[in-house]
Amino acid sequence: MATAAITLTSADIAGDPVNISNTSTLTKADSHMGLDQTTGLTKIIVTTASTHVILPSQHTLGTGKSAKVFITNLSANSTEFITVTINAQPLGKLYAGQWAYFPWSQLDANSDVKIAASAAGKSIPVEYMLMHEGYEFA
Amino acid sequence: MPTTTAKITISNDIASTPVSATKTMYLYKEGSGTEGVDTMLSASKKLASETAVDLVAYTAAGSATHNFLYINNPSTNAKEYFIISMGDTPSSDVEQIGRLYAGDWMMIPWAASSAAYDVFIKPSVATEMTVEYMILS
Repeated sequence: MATAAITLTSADIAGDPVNISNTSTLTKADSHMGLDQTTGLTKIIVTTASTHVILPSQHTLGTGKSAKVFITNLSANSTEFITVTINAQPLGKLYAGQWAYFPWSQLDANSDVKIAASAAGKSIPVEYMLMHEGYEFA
Repeated sequence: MPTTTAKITISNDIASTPVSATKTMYLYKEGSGTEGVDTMLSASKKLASETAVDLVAYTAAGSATHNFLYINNPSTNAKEYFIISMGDTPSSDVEQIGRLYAGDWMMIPWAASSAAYDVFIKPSVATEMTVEYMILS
């Protein structure tokens, strides 16, 4: 089954070192069965500051099911970021080299996952991947 | 200046050709490629109600508008999940992000610039569930 692991490490953010390791097995909702569908890893170049839908919500099939989103900003320019938004709710900014990983409910038709470049005229490479259950995803 | 990193490794064998993704990020402050986050809040809470609660108010990040939020559901019971939402109030004006099922974790950038960025959590069952989270600012 697919897995996602995180290792969070800091030797000096606190008086004692911080080291967190956690691995999750990507299962279907309320189940021990593994997720069985994926977009694979997709790479795009984001060039505009307006929001761009990267994962359209499939709420009639996806609501109440399990879906995991991975997004990373591949830029090497530390001033370049992408804003990650679900529907109209920004989550935060991913600066160069940073990533996000989160579950996705697709609660309604507007629950698209969107990104926007920090400014127009940029060429920010972004990779993303969706792992999910359901039957048909556009 | 603290140095904090977060490495993700996704092993995706769902398709016939496996796809893996490994990425290590440095947790920098807003707009900086050198200055690392320097504050940390780590907590574990027990919830015994199906009512949505304000897990993390935007003020928890101080005045920082670029933070990192890690949430973990350590349950091993497949029926026990948390609904994670972000917005102003749990009854309205919130956007549901997703369901954090047993054993799942999430890590997101967190703007936390106003009450519109409060993070709410709603357990799937009324029996006691534990949530673990960390804010790095």
